[in-house]
Amino acid sequence: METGNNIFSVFQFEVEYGAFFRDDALSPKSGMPRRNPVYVLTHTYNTAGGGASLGSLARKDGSVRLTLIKTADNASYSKSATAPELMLQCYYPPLRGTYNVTGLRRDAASLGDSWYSGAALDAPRLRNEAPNPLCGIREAAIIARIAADGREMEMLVLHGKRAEADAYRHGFAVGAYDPYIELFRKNAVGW
Amino acid sequence: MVGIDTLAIFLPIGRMTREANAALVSLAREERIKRTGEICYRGAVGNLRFSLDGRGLYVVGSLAAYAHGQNVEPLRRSEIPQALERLSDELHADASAASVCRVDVAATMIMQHKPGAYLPILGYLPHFTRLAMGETTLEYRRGKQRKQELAFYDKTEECRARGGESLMPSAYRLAGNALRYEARLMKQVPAQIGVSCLQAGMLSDRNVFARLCGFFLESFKAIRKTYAMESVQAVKTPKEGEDYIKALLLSQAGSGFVEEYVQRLGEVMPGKNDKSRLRALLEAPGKKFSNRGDWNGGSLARELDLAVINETLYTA
Repeated sequence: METGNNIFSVFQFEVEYGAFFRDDALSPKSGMPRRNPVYVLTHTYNTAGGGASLGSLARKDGSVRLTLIKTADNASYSKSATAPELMLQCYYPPLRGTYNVTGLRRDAASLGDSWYSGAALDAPRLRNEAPNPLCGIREAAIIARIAADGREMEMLVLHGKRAEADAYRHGFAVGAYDPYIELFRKNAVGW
Repeated sequence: MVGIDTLAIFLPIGRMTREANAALVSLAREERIKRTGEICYRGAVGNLRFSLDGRGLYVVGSLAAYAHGQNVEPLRRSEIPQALERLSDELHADASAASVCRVDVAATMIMQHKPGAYLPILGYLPHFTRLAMGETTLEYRRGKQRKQELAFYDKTEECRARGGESLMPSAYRLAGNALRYEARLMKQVPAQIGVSCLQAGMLSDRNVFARLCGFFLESFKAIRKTYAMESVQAVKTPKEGEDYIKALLLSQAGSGFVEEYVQRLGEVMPGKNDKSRLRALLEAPGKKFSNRGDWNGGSLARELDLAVINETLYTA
């Protein structure tokens, strides 16, 4: 596999990288450990050098916090065979509630760490006519790695690759793109 | 993700209009069938070839390549109606009402190693003939009628040979190692998947697609494979030691070697069940010490198992 020194020569499309760490603080409401883990964005990298789409999910204080939900826990969720196993949510002020960033489908061939794929909602508007904050990346594939101990999560947004999301997920799971993801990790800067 | 690739459909002449016939004849060239002396018209729409004669319209080709421009990514269930609608427009006939004569269920899998490394571990499949074609292609054919076929080959190499590597989706082009697995239903498709009739439009039906995926997965599972060996600590007695070294040597040779050996001896052994007995004797030590668990140990067979299972998830 050719990695090259210049990552732009490899990826002909924009790739965003985000590293998240689990927030182990107790729930401010109940004072108990959280039932659903919350991940906080710490580092990002963007091959195109532009503003990261993940930034559109930032709260007023600038932090990006995503909650990981098991869809099996949600009684109203469809139990179809195509339903994703996990769901990433974040608080979105225009909705005065949570917004589903993406569903996450696990790769069966994941080694230790689990690899997931998903895609943002393909609609310009949400309920209450609130604008979809991820409308700009609705053609993108979202790939996520959750560490075996659940402490860290990495997310990649591959622009224009929604149709190939599952192929990329499997490629990352078997380590086919390891040199590239190492470059993203090395180049990532603090959020 | 698993999907449809090659499709052959037949539409009886009674279901076509005069205008459709005239439009197709204008796209085709006239030919005379030598055996019957009958006139037929042959042509192509995109990459799909068609022939029109007194019985009806027969269309064959890769529906995935017709819809996507390449067939590395097969046609998903949700994409089938759109492709058939486009085909109907071009043929001036309702392609979704045509009966299915052949369908290939396929998936392209990104692997850790070169695809050629996975082929020797695929061994005997009951009722099928194993045909190794070079180092990068392996086929299984069922019976003399070839009702079913399974094929494994290096998709990157095939695209390169056809000069279409640049058309490959970036996921496969960047990864480099793309193994293609195709399960082909060549004849009598409805009977083989247990439905009374099968029209092209029904391929996007959830139940029909699930049956096709089931055929794809179960055919693969039925192939006997060489799994990685357990460590030597599993040996407790001298007899087990003997079995272990036999299993180790046979696993290094690969299932393909064992199958070729059995076939060669089958020609000289007179007994009816000699081949089956020999195969069972050769496989017994391997079964005792095979490790089907995690593929961290580097078992290619386990990696391939998981890759194929992974392709069938979230499909139907």
